[in-house]
Amino acid sequence: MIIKEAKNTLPSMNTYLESEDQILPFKKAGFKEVILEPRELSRMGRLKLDELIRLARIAVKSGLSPILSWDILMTENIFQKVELYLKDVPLEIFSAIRVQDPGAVEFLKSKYPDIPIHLILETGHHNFESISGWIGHLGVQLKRIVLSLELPKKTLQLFLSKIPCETELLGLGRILLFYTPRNLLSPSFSLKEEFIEVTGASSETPHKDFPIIENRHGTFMYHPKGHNLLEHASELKGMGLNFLRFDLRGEECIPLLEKVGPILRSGINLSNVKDYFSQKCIQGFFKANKSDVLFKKLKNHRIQRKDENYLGEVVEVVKKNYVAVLLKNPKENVSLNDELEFKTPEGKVKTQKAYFLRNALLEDVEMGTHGEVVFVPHISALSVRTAVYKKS
Amino acid sequence: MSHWVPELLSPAGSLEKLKVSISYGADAVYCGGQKFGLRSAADNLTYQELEEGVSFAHENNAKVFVVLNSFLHDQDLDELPAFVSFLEEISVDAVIVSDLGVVRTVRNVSNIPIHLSTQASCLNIQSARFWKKMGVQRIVLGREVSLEEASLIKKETGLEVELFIHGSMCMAYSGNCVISNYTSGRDSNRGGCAHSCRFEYTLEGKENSGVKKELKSFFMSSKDLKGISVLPDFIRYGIDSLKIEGRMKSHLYAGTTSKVYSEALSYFSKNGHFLSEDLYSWKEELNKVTHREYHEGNLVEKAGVDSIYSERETEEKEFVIVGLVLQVIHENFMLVEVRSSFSSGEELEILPFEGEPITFKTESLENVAGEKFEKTKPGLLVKLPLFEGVKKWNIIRKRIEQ
Ligand code: SF4
Repeated sequence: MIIKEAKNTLPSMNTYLESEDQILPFKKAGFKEVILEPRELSRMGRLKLDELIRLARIAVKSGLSPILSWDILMTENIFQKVELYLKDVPLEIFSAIRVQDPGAVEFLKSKYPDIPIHLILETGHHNFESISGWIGHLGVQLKRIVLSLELPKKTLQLFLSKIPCETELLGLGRILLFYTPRNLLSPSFSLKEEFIEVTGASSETPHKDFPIIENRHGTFMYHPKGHNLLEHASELKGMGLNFLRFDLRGEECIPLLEKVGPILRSGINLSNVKDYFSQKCIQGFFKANKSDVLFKKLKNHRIQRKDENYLGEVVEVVKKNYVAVLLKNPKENVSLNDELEFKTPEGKVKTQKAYFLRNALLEDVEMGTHGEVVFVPHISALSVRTAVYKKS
Repeated sequence: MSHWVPELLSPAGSLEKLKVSISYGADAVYCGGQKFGLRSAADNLTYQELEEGVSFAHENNAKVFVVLNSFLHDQDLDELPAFVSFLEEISVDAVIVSDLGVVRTVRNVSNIPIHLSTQASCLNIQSARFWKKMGVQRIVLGREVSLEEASLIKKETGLEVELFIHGSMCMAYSGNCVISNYTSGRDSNRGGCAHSCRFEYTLEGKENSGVKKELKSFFMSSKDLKGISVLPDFIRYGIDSLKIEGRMKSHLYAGTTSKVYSEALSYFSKNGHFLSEDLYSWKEELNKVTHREYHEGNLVEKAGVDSIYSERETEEKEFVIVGLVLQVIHENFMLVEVRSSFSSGEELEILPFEGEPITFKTESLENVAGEKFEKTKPGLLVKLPLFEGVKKWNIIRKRIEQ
């Protein structure tokens, strides 16, 4: 049976190429582009230099566009080693270089202005102003922007309509949660083949089986569930997305492609692909990103100083005697007989006239100024940290 | 002759802490407004408090840097220009930013100097060059950067460089951890970090890991940074600003760390060396504030196994703040706001802005109304005897019985 290739209604597909035997299955499945990861430059890189060059050349011959991944973050010492390494890489065989570290971007811009850049903006870059900063800075050298998984659909739609270069989003694959240069597993586990892989679970979070990997670049923690936007592929294409990335690095890639290759190639029932993926999947923040709504609950806004008529804060309450108020506003004094309003941490509002006003020696005074503690008549139900205002 | 020393930059999680940090010797403080910063749970400062904080700082020859270091979403940016204009109006000395969109917005609407936040993980010369082109004047380098690398970045770019010298450390490359975003629904890059790296995890090795059995471990938790031993290197390498982490931490922490590092820096400024008898006591003072086990991070060499804090999240502390001096009534007494309880007859220490702590035993405890107490509790204002050199905002502490 001849399976027709999905045309135009879906974004193009790219993926990571780890070995030669994956080339044909990728090709058959309709992938256009492969990302190659040298171990010196790439977070999950395993390819030695000669393997990298060989694979890139075979990919080209097979009609796949090879992209060089340089996605590690680098302190200066590492950067200098990478610069030396790059001298041995025939960069011209790659269609583009993928980078995240602004240092790598700047280096390519100044030393290799003709090499197209695929810029990874998956960390932050949730406002268009930041994205347009990069667009302006790199000009035509910026071939593609890899967008953040945290962008909700509405924002994606807006960004995709404005970005003048190619765009890419993770379609199916692992969600990277954490990246550190420190070696966190090797103190307890032994390093074989340069990679240690474990799963982690904590009783302090309901999530289990976080995949964790340590290698020469540090330690990486992934979400126990994968990210899957395949059911929205044609919608994303409609919004203007050019590439959907498939991260199959944690999978038995060739057996998986045998099953899902025809689906990918035809583009029909694409959402079924997730059934063959080893991780259960989520859509992350695609529908909505409300990851700031809980912040309001992190502190008590009732006792927060509102600027107008604010006098200070209750620092002591002595029943049937006085309320001590620390005057905290340099622009507002308190005078004898002022009407005062008290807003408690629990949300109660009380009023009281300062029919006496005393200083710390309990002497009667006419006025209290910023920085002083003054003593006013007691009223019930107040507690320390109550905010005090002058009633207008 | 005085010798060059870097700026000491201390945390100011609230207006009060701003005053405490500056009074104890900070040359500059960093604080947040109600939005745009990375510590949503900190008190942070209202408009009026920011204005007052800047006036207080400037009267005391100190600077105020305001953090705008969240990775903002489009809708958050809408309110930013008005806030930045306000900051410029009240003469804030710089803003600390991590997001390119925020850098551009600040530049569009103001002339406030921009410091790049550590959140942007600027780690190398080329990266610093990029940010310089974007209009940044100072880089708060990533915590992974060594002193030597920092000095190279400064030399090659001509930018000011700032490094953390003390405090808690994020285990991830800053800005590259979204555990909270996906597991707690709180954006760690907008101030919602749930500290998942401090949890205990059960790790299970895969076949290639050499260990198949389960292992319980706090494998992601970092020890705290303490850089006082390498202070001479900070100076030798010309690091412009030494930053103390901790906007969420206590008055005692803000006051003690500011005092210790500022005393050490002024000693060097006067003498050109650190061969001081006080070196031991400075280090000891830093042990008295809440901390996890200390480490030197990546300052000298790459942080290794011994940088991991492999214990449950219990912070070590020797002393606790019991009160804050709110008012000094001349030749009479000091009025102290009780922050945690102490009893009559207990030994307390006043931490003056300069010099040795003043140790004294409390005698009778009473409030201004003359009510007597055997034991105080938070929420009381007590009168304590006045000692020479005691000033408003001095911290009173007591040793915790171990
Ligand atoms: S969870 Fe830990 S590593 Fe992640 S942002 Fe928070 S402090 Fe940093």
